[in-house]
Amino acid sequence: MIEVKALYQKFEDNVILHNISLKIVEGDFLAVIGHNGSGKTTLIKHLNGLLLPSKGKVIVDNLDTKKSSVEIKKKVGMIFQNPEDQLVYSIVEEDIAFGLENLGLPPAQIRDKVDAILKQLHISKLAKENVNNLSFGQKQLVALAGILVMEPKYVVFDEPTTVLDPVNRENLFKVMQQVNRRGATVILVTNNLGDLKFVKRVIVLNKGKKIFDGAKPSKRTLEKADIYA
Amino acid sequence: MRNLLGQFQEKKTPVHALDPRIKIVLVLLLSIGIFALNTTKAMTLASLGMLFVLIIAQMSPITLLRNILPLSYFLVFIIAMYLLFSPEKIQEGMLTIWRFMLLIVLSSILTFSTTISDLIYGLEKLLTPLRIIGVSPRNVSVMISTTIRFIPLLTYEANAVRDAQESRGASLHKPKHIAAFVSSLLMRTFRRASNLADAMGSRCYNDVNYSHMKQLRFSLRDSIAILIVASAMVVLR
Repeated sequence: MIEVKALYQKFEDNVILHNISLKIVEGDFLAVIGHNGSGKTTLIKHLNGLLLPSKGKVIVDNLDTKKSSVEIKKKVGMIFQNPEDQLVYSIVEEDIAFGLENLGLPPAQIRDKVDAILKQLHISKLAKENVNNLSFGQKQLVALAGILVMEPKYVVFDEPTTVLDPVNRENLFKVMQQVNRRGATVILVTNNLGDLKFVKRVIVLNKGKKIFDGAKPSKRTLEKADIYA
Repeated sequence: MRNLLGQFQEKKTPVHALDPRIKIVLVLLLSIGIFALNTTKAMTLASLGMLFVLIIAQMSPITLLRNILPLSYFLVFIIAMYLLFSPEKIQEGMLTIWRFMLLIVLSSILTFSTTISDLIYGLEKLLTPLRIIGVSPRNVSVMISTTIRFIPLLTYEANAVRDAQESRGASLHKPKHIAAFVSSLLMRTFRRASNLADAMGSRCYNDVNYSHMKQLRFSLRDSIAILIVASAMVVLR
């Protein structure tokens, strides 16, 4: 379980997150929605210790993000908005192996896991390709493979659908649902109302404050957060 | 850059099969050796040796020419300098050109027979002793990899910024507009670098406890290659 306790985040004099508290249980499939600048990305960067709280605590499976950096990063995988910015190596299979190499796994085990995830996401034929030659949707799958191969318990998607066409968007949601069915908790950050139909729970942020946490926010709540259909 | 780094062709040859560490070391040694050659006879023998390696590596003359041609201006420049300032030493100039050509052939064989990732991994392994003086081989290799990975992206960004500015009447011939272009490109580059750092951090990047999917193995073939090169260097000395 991930517990966010009275989280405040300040950058210089700007308070980005105000007293956010929430619990994310295992198997959950939730969306964090809010307009630009509402603090969504800042909040999720706390979930795997990329940011540390100015005040408050973030606890992942009883581990404090301030104390257990690597252990938490292994548990919480992050898929960023633009796959271009998260692919480190030029060759697909080498990039997918990057996270496992950082964990110091034996070479044979890395090979097996990379082959398995390529097969699972139906991208085995791309294994030796240069990432610069792939389409945007393929790059997103490679970025996703690089995270899923580390078998995280929680997978955070930061606005992954923003620049996708409808077909790739649909495909990505299928993968998210598959990941969720396999037991991982999926946390989706979005500003697209259409994405909410796929999730079980919605958290609405407005100006760094949590204004809703439940199954379906009302139209009024969404409008309060400057989110319109 | 593309010619020098992106010309690898997969082939089943003894040259391709050599350990990248050995290839890097041999290329470095041979490069030094080439500059020590002073006679036409020694240069001819070295060239014949290089030709032999080219044939074994199954590198086509067209591929080789593609690597030599972009540097031909440099070679012409050297000859022109000799002709202008010391025409009496033109023979020495020709030898210099010959040496540069051999160096280009040598580096071409290396990049033709070794993938970029193998080269970087080989370099990382060779840099391991530098840990003693605080240099992290892992950081160096990842830095090279990300640089190669991001060159096309930076080109794309530069074109996007240029197009956006030109569509609003800017001209890259005016210093003021060049400054705007550079600052905008730098901002985009820093943003990408920051995103990449986050992505690497979230994938547990470290330069202490890590492993590699690939494993390099020193084999009998590598020992033979070292022996042949060492013998050649002794003979040509």
